[in-house]
Amino acid sequence: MPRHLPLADIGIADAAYHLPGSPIDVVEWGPQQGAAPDLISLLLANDCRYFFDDPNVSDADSIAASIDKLSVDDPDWRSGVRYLVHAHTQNFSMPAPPSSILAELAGRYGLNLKLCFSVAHLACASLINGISLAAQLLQNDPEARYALIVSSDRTFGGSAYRLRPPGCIQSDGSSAILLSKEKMRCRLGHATMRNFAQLCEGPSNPDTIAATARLTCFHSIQLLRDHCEETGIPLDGYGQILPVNADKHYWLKIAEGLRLNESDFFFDNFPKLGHANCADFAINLVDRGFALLDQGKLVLAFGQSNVGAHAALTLVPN
Amino acid sequence: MQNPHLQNRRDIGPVAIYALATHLPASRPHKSLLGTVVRSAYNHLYQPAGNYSRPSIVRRGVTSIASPVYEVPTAGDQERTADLASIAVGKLLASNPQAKQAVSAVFHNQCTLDQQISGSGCLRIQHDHFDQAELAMMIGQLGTAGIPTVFRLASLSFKSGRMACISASDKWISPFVRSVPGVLTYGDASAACLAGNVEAGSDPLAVIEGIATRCTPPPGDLWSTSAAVQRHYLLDHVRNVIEDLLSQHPDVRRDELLLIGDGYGADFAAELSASLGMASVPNFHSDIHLSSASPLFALSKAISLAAEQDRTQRSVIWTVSQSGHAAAMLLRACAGAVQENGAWLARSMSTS
Repeated sequence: MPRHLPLADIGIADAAYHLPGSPIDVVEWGPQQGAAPDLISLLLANDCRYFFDDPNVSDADSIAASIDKLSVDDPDWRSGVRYLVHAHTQNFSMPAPPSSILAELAGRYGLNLKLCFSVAHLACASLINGISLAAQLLQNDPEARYALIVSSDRTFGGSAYRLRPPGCIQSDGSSAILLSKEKMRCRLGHATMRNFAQLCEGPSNPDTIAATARLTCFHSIQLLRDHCEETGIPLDGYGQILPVNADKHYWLKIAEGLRLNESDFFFDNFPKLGHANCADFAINLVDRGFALLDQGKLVLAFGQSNVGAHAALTLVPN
Repeated sequence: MQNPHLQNRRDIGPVAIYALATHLPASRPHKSLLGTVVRSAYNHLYQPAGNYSRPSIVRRGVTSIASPVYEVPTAGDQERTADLASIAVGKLLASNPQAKQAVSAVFHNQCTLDQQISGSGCLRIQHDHFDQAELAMMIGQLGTAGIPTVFRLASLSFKSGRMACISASDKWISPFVRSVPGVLTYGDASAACLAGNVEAGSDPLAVIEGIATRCTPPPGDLWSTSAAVQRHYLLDHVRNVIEDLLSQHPDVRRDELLLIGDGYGADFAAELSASLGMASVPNFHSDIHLSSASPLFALSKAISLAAEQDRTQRSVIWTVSQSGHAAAMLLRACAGAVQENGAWLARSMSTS
């Protein structure tokens, strides 16, 4: 029986994502980019294959494509958004400072905001940190109806940056998630965030790359155990765990460490879509999570990073 | 489903400041409108995807745009935004290292990009100073006007007897634009403070009694819109947010308040002051914008004035950014602040 779900009066009205263009096959693209055949074989062996890339779409346009896909049972929902929260993993993926993607979106959609902000420097754990803050703001504001969470990530650089051996191909992509107090597809439950700050330099040199490879699984396992403890929900009590769509070898180790089965995780999108960073939350929720929630099952979404930040969010059937 | 576990629902209350430190690197001359040229930084911005992340006036391969010489505080070529922030936090803790243990959350704010693009500024601060912190985040995309929003967000996580470390830092590197003639010139700077609930029996340096924020998209491209149009927009925007703040506090008398804000020049401050009927005090540099740390420098100024006069001083700290964000904070700076090792400390934190 869950014992502490402090966010459960806030839910998700809808979520959407946008991946630009058509899927690109690393088997064809890799050799054109000069990627070594061994690298491509390694990625294929780790369940990576297709990804998305379009350098000619701005972050704001990409986010707008996601927002426009939201299907909300309230035609005036945009006028009820009081909080706009952005999150991103790829640090370059934003307009030139001091420009603000928030102001750009507020202008484009005519939003009447009480507060807006972006969460960053926690890589793919940024999004769940942002959802947690947005949910708390909604809880503290009796008049506000909606908070809109958006993300956009574009990978800069050629194959050296897009292909992250052994188990990750980065995709460009965006997402939009509408938090609501009513007419929700699921409820939020509880978010657990943990930062293991010794990895704060990210994958910037061989030492930090090795440390990240050595420690990330243990940190994820610790976070999942903490989340279990805080919610009172055992990990086998979830319909499925939605990982970020990268590094399957980590997830298999995490499954082993927590005595879970491979089928307890949703891996279908790894080869089909690649890792669209912060958008993976909405991608896996739309492609799998909502169906499980509709069946009355709990879902656990996970945000992992290469800077030591980890986050988990329990989603509860409505 | 009614959740039986909800607890501690409350409005966001006043924010107490218990310690504050600022850091300005040495001034250096520049003859380009763009930021410092750091050879190894930002190469990715010149790839096709960078077209949406470079200023519109900077074509591929351009690293400088000629300008008459000007001097502003400038970080060393290899000094990162994370270094600048960590220095300010270090100054904050130099005299009261025991305060580290009371910090449960780290909120860092910047609008520029660290030149070590894979790293995390907020986690660097956690790693250097607050290993036990439960939460760390970088809050961005608010131009240089993010600090008041960060106070609002930090107050969501305040716990009795615990504090949040709030920091800001920016370093302007080419191809980002350091100087927009007729509008503003950015200096590299950092600052940090320890903030928490107003606790019974505590003696904070200052209390933020109210915060107003506004997002009004700018009138056009930040680098090609005329200086006159931008200046008019900035003045209007910040005046509106200050009026929002004052309307939330009808008991406050304008003639008791000092205005302290960003370095847009003495004329800008005078015009704002005249239109609001309030006296104005210059920030550390009246004509250099100290970037995201600017509102914390203004806080420091208000605290130093209260200390000099040995009496409580109320002020409005304002900040407005080209980006579309503006904010104002109603501040009560308390008498009796102590300055040690370059940091302002509440008497309860002082070792002397």
